[in-house]
Amino acid sequence: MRRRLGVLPSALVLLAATAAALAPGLFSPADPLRGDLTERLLPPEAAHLFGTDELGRDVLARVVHGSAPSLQAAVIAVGIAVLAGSAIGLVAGTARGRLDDLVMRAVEVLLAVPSFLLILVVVAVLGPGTREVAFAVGVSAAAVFSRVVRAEVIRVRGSGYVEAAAVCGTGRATVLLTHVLPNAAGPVAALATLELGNAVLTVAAVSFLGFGAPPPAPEWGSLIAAGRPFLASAWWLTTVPGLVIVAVVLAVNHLGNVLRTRSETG
Amino acid sequence: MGIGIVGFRARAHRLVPVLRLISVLACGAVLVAGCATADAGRPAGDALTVGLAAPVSCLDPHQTPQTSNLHVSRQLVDSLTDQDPRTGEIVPWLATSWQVGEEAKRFTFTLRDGVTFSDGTPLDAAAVVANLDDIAKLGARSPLGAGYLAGYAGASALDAKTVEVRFDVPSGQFLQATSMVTLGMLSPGTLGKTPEQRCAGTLAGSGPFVLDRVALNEEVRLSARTGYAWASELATHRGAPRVRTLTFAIVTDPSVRHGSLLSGQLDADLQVLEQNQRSFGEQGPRLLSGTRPGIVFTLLPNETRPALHDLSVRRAIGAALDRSRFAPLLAAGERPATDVLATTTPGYADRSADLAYAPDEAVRLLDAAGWRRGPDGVRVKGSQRLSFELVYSANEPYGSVYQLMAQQLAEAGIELRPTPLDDATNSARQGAGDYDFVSWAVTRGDPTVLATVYPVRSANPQRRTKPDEVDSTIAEIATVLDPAERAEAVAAAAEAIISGGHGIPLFEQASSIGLAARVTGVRLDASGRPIFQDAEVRA
Repeated sequence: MRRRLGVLPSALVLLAATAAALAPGLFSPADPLRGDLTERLLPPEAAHLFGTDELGRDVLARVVHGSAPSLQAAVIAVGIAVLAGSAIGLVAGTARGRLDDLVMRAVEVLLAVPSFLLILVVVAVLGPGTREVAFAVGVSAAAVFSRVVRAEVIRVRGSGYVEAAAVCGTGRATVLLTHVLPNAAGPVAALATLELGNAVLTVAAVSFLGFGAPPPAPEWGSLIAAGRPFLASAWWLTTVPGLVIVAVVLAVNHLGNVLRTRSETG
Repeated sequence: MGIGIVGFRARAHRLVPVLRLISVLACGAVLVAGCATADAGRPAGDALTVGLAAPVSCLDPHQTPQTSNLHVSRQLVDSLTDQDPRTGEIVPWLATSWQVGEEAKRFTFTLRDGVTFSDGTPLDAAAVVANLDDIAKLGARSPLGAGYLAGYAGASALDAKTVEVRFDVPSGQFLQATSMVTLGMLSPGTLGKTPEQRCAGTLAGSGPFVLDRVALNEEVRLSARTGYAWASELATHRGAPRVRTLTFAIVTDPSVRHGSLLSGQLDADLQVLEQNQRSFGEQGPRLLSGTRPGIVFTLLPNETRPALHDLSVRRAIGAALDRSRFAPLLAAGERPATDVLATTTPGYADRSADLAYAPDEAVRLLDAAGWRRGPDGVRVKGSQRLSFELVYSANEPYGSVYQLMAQQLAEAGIELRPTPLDDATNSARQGAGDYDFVSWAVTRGDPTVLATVYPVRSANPQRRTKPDEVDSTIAEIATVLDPAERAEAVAAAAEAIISGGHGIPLFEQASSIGLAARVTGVRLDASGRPIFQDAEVRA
């Protein structure tokens, strides 16, 4: 019951972030790419709620317009991780035997490499950019999903209704897709939500290191990086995007936790 | 200036969380600088710790062209002459007097008595000859030296104190070149080492400091040379350095360097960013800045790219930039360019009329050349778009200037994409010519510095293939000695560069050095490098 307490604010934060990504104009009419040099480095005030940066650009506009690429990258990353991970887990869990051993050992190797290192390697090969970062984060998270899906598949495979379907003569592929997969989906959904929070954070971290979209395109991570030299003179340049990332990650994590508890108890 | 300090303190109560963060960052700096400051036994005021913005990669002044390396090397070696940063005049240092032969093909230097290298060998005429021969032999390993010794025919010791240097062609720039750290003197023993060994720090010079310890990504520690008594004429105190140890701590993060200077963990920050300069005033840390002479910070087009091969496009880009708007983004001592050379370079002339903001002219040039606005506002001609990538190192502090330029060029229908890269990728792409634009500045107090960037036979980042009047006019500068004739030659070269759009001057760069209140006597040489021989630290 206690967990429910934070659900509404978390949902609101997530809703606001999604809305900002879909319709940034709604939140801030200012241009995120052009600024007025006479209004540079203004602290937060009525005209500029989050202040302005070194080129006089509105920080609120940049944070709002930065939510689309940042969230997009996180969602794409989790999407890749879920799809690739499920496919690998499904094949391994169904086939068992030598193929299962082979695939799972490969997955373990992937898990043994620190994920951030793996992401940096992939981005270094693909080059900088939002899509490239999303792909790299997705690849590094796929291994976790494949293990969960494989475990679920093995569990569901032994249950009565799957055996019954097999006895009835239903094709193997049909059994997999109509019986095994839907019943294994619960934990995957919960894990996906948790991973989304992780992905937002990782995408921001990689973009902070300068591998995201090149300037002047706003991205949460690169906004913090760009504000870092101003720590002593303009705190709002780093604090505002930082707080936004914290709020979104906490919200997603909390919702993920609630979902996980539900899937475990229900 | 005092107001800046008051303002900074008055804002402090709102900054508490941020300051806390800074102190965390500053702790990081202590870890870096710690090795130097942990030495508890030394008397106060005896040691100077300065923050260097980039790692040191090679300490041999003959080889390296990089600023951070040369900042250290400058303390280790002396030069034949020194250059007064205010007047550009060449003054005695290791050479007490010199004669320049007719046509500037023959130079005779008379050396000071009693100078020795830190390994004990005397600095005599033979040692000077060995140094010049060494730099000439290094060739491409000495990108700066190769320019200083262009046309070098050899040197000989006329007697123990007299050196004669000969050139095949007139070399009007050589006398000034002898003041540069690249032509600094190393002991004959050092010259016998391999270039790699010298880079790693196996070197002995005659300078006010000697090398104690090099930890390439951490610090370089120097100690004062006892018995040093041959400082340049520009030094106020001519003897051995008053600080016993001088430590260059490598602190790459600008806010950490700044925080460490304010908290007293660093005595100097060798690269203060514009945004931190407001916190300097008459009390507390001071700012020492000097405009660097030489080629100003310049946007250089890759002329092998089809769109940039078009002269109208290159000229339109120059006309579409409003340099006066750069001013708020520039540091102390930096200002919008008014010539291809900085104001502190001999031969500089105000050519701001050629570099004026002329948006109508930009539009006219592009229209006339057939570039029409596409649906997204970027001009196109056939399958080509006026969209250019400017590659630069992410460590460079001018990212916001590039973004402002991109905004200004967008007005004229030109898309500029500033692309920050890590250092390795940046140098790989610059080496391979994989860019539309790069931006360079070259520091030197002589107009022949133009020869390092613009001629076909130079670094040539424009990738020009056919020598034209740019090459001939720049070659002319080196052959004349008379100041009036030189000014004429420089004017012809500058005219050829600007009208050909081979370089788009942006702004004059400056050295900005933050000094703790207890430090006095640090001066900048003509290249904007700090000299610590005179420095004093109050307890």
